[in-house]
Amino acid sequence: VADLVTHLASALLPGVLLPANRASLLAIGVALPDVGGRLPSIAAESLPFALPPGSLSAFDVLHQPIGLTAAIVATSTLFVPEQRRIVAGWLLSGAALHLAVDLLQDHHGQGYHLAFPLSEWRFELGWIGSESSISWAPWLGLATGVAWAARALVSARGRPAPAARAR
Amino acid sequence: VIVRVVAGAVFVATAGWWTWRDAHGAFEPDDDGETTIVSLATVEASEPGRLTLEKAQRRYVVVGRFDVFPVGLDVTVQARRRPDGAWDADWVEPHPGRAAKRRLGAVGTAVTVALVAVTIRARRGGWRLRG
Repeated sequence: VADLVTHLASALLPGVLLPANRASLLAIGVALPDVGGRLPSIAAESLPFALPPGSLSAFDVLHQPIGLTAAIVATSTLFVPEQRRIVAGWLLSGAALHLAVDLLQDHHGQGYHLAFPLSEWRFELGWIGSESSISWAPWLGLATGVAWAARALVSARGRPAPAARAR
Repeated sequence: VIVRVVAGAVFVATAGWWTWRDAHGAFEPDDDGETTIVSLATVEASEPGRLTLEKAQRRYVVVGRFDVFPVGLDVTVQARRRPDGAWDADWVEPHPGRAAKRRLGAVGTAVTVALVAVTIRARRGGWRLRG
């Protein structure tokens, strides 16, 4: 996976042109595959005891299109009815963006399960190294911070921000 | 309610089938004599020519012509399985940037938690978006 700062920047940088809560949903959707799919196993490493092999593998499906879509759709039903489609749409867009960025990476052909449980086929484009994003991440994070600070400044001066004009 | 039940059922079925396949070795490297790749496994122990790796709560003993790697380093190995269960390595590729990637992951996770907190309100009758 690419690093999470790069993933968040891929949503929040263009998201500066969106209403704040839409940009935020897009960013949460971008983070979901890693936070949901990888965080449990990272957290398990800090436990004082070892979990049985494979006990956390169910979370892996949160980094796959079908498992992730089902989880997002189910989660969106927790929202009030008039916001469910909005929430599901933006979270799914973010999740798709995440998987698209990950597919760019090279893991020596190991790739990602894109169609599980329909197929165990794996795929990756292999265009960039799996650690390439580390050198970009600080700059992308900085650019994202500057863009959102500029937006806040514009809003504070009373001029309509791009998102406000779009509403 | 129907959408929630159907989506939940798809998720549980997918996760359950994945766990079943994983438990039966479907995603482990093959041991049919062909070379295979163990990607991004973590070094648990290392001495010249011998590595113990951990990936997804599984251990791999890898032998070959390589030097000592630091414990905790992530590596990718191309290898073939030997009759004694160890893996004969063709090459071992270190990934020294993975620690930095994990730190960036921690930063990203904190940002995500903050975004959830400022974006979503949990209320009786259903969650709501702020703004």
